[in-house]
Amino acid sequence: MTALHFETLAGLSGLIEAGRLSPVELARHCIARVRALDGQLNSTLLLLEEQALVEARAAEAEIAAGRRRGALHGIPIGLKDLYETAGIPTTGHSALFREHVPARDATAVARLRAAGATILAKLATWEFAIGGSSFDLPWPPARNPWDPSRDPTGSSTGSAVAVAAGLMPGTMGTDTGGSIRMPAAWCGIAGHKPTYGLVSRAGVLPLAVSLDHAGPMAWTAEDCALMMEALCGHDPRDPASAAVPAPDFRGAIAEGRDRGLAGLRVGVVRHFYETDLPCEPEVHAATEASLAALRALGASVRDVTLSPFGDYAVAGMVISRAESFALHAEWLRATPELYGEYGRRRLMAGAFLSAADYINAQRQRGRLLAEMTAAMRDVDVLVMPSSRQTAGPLGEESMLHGTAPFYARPFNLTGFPAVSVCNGFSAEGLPIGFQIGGRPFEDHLVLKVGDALERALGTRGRRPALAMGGMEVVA
Amino acid sequence: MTRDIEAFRQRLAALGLRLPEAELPAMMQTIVELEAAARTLRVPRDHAEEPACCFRLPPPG
Repeated sequence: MTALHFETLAGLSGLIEAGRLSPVELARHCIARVRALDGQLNSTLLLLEEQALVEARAAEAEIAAGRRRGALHGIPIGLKDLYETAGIPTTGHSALFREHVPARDATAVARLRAAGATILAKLATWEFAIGGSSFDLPWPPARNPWDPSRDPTGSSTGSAVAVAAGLMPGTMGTDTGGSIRMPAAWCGIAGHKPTYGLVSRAGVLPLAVSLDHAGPMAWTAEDCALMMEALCGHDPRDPASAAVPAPDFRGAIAEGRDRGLAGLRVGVVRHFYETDLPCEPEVHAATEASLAALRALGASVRDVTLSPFGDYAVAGMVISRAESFALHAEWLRATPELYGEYGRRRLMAGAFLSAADYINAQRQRGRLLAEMTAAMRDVDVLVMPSSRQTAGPLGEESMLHGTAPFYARPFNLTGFPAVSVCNGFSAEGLPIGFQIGGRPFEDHLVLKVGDALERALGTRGRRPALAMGGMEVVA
Repeated sequence: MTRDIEAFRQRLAALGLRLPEAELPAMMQTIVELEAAARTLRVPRDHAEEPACCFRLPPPG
């Protein structure tokens, strides 16, 4: 039987629904896991122990009274410390915001609470979602549970680490240039960047407003789908929020399990990872195995050609640097010493761009959006590796440059949904990630494909050895 | 190199920014990369394409 802490969010939800698991017992177990293991991993900035137990007791009472709200009721969820929480510090992992205590919850947090989730912790991030794995911030950087000398990458570092290590079953991340999908890939979990506008960003500390996305991270694509059910919905507090009906996530997952992927048209953006930014051989082999699995599930697979990866990367980087500098300019001028070196450098860089550079990047964005839209008339999903390599050394500075080894940026630029799922392991035992992108508001489809692939490849039975050590099997 | 650093420090100051001395070389490298990236976006274009990049009003009602 699976240890309680390695049960999926969906599995835990089923146990609670069946009356075989108490939300209070689950919250206590997660708290004990954080206390026992997080000294090695640094995923958690603030453990909300007392409040989480209060919320878990309330969930337990409601469920016992026959008022179960849904799949997240009684499930502990962690938040990247960019999500504002009423009366609870929200620091952005920065000395600049160390004393920042918001008056209200971010909309996404309010939605999770309304669904009955237990808010367990505020989690590590790269400083303001951009700084990098830094040692000069008030809190240390999170470490990869598959090998703590390795980087989890970011910026949603703690969110990926906490899930991979079995500290909590679901977390929230943010994704401006890949910050959900990149750490999901390097930590061997699922991370979903929703369609731009599908999940509200109101109350989430921004980085680059036209590229920022809020989304779930969990062990499986199905778990992300269950979180998306609670997170979707129009929010007038976010000007980019779309007034569209929520996709049928659960129905899509069930359909994929019943009927496979017959009829699905998969487009492989092979030039991204074979010629534009070549991936390592183990990543390539895992990608080919995934394509074979998709064919075996009934999908048709063909290559698709887009503009060179660099066109997407450059436009994304220029827009991101310009928009993030606009947000931080006054603080950077007044109190640069309150940033870490990496955050200071990356945020200040936007000062060197001109208005014309920003407009040029937005123009290129429009061209690339039209191109990807056209490409997706002939295919239903676009696939590629999530990263060109497995996890690198913790804090490696090369990660901060434009050559960062990820294929995530195109979907921030276009706003199309994309999920990263684990599709294998290297000879060293490090996870490999596979990215599935879809048409706008077809998030349910990319998660369905991710779920089918996870099940076909059988990667979800393997957990970091570190997290296995010394813990009692409860369930 | 010393002249480059001094010129870069002056650019920073003109933007109202300051950095610890030890961070200047890495920052300079970051800016070299970013400016090179931005240059690739400066391509000839037909002015008739300009409406391709504009804001959009919400639909009525």
